[in-house]
Amino acid sequence: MFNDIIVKNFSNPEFAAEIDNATNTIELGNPVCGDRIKVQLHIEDGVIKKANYAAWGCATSLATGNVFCSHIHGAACSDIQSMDKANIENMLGELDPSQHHCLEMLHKLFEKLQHTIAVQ
Amino acid sequence: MTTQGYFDYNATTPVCSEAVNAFINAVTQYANPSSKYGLSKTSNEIINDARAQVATLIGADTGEVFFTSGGTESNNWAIKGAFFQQLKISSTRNHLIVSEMEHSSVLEVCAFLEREFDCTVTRLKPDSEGIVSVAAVANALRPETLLVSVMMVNNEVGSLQPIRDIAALLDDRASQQKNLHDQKIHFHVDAVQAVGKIPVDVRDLGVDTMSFSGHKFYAPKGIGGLYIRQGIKITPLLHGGGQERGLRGGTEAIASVAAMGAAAQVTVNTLNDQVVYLAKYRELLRSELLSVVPGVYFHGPANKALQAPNTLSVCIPGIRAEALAALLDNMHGIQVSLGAACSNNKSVALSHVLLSMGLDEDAVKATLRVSIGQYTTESDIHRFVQAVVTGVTTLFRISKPASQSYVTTA
Repeated sequence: MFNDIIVKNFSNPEFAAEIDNATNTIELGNPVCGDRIKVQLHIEDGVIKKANYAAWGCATSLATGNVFCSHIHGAACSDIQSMDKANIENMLGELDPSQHHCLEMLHKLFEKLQHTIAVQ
Repeated sequence: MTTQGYFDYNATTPVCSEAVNAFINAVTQYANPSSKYGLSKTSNEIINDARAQVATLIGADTGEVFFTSGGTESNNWAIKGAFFQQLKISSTRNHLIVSEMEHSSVLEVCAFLEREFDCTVTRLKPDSEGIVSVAAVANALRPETLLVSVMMVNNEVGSLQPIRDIAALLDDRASQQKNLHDQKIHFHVDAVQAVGKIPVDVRDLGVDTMSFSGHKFYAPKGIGGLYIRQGIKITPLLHGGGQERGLRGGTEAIASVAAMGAAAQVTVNTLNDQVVYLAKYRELLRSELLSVVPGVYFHGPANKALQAPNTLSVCIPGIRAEALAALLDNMHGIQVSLGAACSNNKSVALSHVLLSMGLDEDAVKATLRVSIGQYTTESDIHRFVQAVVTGVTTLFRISKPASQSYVTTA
């Protein structure tokens, strides 16, 4: 069963799109279940002006891409850098054991984003 | 409760009104059927009538029908019962043959016997259409083979197995090997997905034991049965109480038994028509999907006569069926089954049936099982296909550039 956050995000994935003028790309794959998420970013003046994603995988992983983009779209890079794991932990709501790999993917997406911002 | 979005009749069926009424009428009959006073007469009659109705459905004598809690129990009982019966005579006859695509209630019993007892199991691969060949069974036979268990209709792809021919093979082998063994090889058939969906006649098939489950043909959950051919001996399942002719003790679930009897009666009256229109709807579903979902294909027998009329195994390359099923459920109130699902962080549960047919992981993950039944209407099929188109379009929008069109409109 899916919680309301997951249902809302996979049934209406408003951030599923491509960016023509992306400045950065984050990609992630789960070797066990084959889920893939690719996030394109347009970062300018210390702000994530645009975040869009493409994903292939289970419903929860599709929702994860959208949840990630919705949290970072329009955010200041400094705010992203100050986030810790506790901020991310509840973003997907309560998950079944079969959906927990998506929370791991979400944590990894944030890690990769923080790394991307740090090396800019 | 509406059934217009229900496309998972192989998982279970809605309970028909006749079964509900029979249940309600019987549930107030509180007298224990085993008691000897007059009050028990009605309870006994209810059970006897239901046994006759079920026997008619499968072409058995009433004395050959044993009520159980359902298919899993019946499969467990038949295989363990035949194994332990043989063990009383000789422990050297200890080889079992099953197909790889059996239900887990067959596969796991065999694995248990293999693990705990001195017994070997041959697991036969079906072909790419999901059919186990008679030749494969013949090649696997050994002098010490005790039991063969093959399902009649596969639950995921609907393929019909050559039960009659396997039974004939085992009969032939028994007559040739009379000197080696006194008993013929026990032939068990899991007919859970067959009884109520296609005509089943145990005499015609020539099986020794056969499982069936009420909730697959519009009876409630928790009631089913095992056909045991007259003269075939298997050890009791539940000791004590003496019910079911001493083989399966426990006070009868009168209301559930009555409900299954009523559902069996309805099925006897309607099955011939159902087989025709379900096959028509399945083909409508197939042709509509083919016309609007590019690349879609189907697993199972190319010869449609070798497939249960209500089942369609649908593969849509490039999508994850689990995600499509979630969209169908949450956006359209449509229920289907899957060939694969994430089970935890470390693994994905892939259908053993589809894998046994030689499908690769991507194809298994892209497969939906669609099964229809007596409440499915033509407009339900149209609505289903539209929902699939919408869902597939959404999934491709997420996974591919939005500018590319992967699905045509209906």
